[in-house]
Amino acid sequence: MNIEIQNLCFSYGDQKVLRFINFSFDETRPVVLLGPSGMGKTTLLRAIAGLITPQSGKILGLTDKTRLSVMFQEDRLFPQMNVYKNLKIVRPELSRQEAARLLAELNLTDPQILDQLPRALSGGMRRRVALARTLVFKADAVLMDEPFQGLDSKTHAMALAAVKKHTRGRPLLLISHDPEDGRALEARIVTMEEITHDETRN
Amino acid sequence: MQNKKTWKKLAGWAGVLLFWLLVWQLAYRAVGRDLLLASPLAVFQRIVELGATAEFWRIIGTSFFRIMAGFLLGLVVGSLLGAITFRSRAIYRLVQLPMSIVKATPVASFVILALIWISGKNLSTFISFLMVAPMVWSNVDQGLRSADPQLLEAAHLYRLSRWQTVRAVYIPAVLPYFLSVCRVAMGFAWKSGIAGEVIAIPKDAIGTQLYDAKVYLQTTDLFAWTVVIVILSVVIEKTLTLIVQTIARRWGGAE
Repeated sequence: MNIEIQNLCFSYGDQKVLRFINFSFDETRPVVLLGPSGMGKTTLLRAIAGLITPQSGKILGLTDKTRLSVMFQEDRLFPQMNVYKNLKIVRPELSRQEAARLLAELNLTDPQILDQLPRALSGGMRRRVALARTLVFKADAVLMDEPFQGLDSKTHAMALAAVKKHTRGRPLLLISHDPEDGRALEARIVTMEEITHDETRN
Repeated sequence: MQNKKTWKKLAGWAGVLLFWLLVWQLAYRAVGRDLLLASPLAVFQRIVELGATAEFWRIIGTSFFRIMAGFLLGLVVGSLLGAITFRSRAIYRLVQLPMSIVKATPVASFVILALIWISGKNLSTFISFLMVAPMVWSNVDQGLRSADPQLLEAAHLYRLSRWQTVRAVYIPAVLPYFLSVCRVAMGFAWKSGIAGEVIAIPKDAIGTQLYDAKVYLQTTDLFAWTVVIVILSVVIEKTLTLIVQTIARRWGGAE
């Protein structure tokens, strides 16, 4: 599965956020997208996810049937469902044991966490639950926006390993500000500047 | 510890009650005419007397069930309407006008108008329905509209079914609005329902008792029934709060 972005442009009113974005990614190798904030990385991810419609350009390789698992910068957990139900609702056949095992891979080892509501957890814990949810959803491709923000170095390393393991064989696009993430995932590292081809620039 | 706190609270409450009873008694002494102001003792005795009769409980029960029926009907119709107008802005605009009119119209106008159409017996049901439905409607509509767009995006991407989305996103959004309007609406239904009874004077109704007390200048009865209404209000309010809190906890949504 190859997802190809061709000459994608997007602007909010007069403000051009994305200018002729060109790049592609597939299941053979993850892509880590680097760049300072405010460069439109999140906008690009939202466009690929189909949440916003670009003014021009194409996204090839995706159809209505393509299932994308997206991790946003916010945890977006469902507030009145406990952790287990938050995972199970995206993966109905997931057992409690499987859920606990996956959370342990993200350094959430307390088995009681499965029965806790999101608001009872710390921000870092909620992020990891959101990460787990992104990983268990049976998707054709995975998009992640700064998934490791605010994690300590040990948990960060564990989360990287889990992402690598659970997205293997699927296209993965991961937004980060840390080049180390790219190396750990053995990913192709691209920057917003590299993939912006503004022909009108000259 | 917990017990002691409850005790203290209760004692404080009793103190406040005693204070106002004393004020009442002093006012009664100052006025000096039973026709204008009944004495607290006489009212208390009257309530005890009334409470010993089967008729008293029948009247309370009948009034309660009629008003409650209107309240529940208002909850159901208001909620359904809220769900419909949330889906369609056109219907929202259509419904908004009559709802605003209903909200702004005095209860007495409705009671008199309604008396032309329906029997006095069902009037309090109708009136409490009329009070409750618009309140519930606007709160449910607003609550649904307050659903977190970020969660809706997540629900969409995770391919949740419509029902799953309702459970995961819409119910938590609407629940605080719904529960808070329940409490307010119950108070309105109760008071306006009884006000309706005073005008419609159906058989076996609290409002009818108030009316009779007024006609026959039985000030003590008027006070006794008023105290009963207040006590029932508090009991209903507390019971409803208990139910509401249970629901809020069950569904895990913030209260």
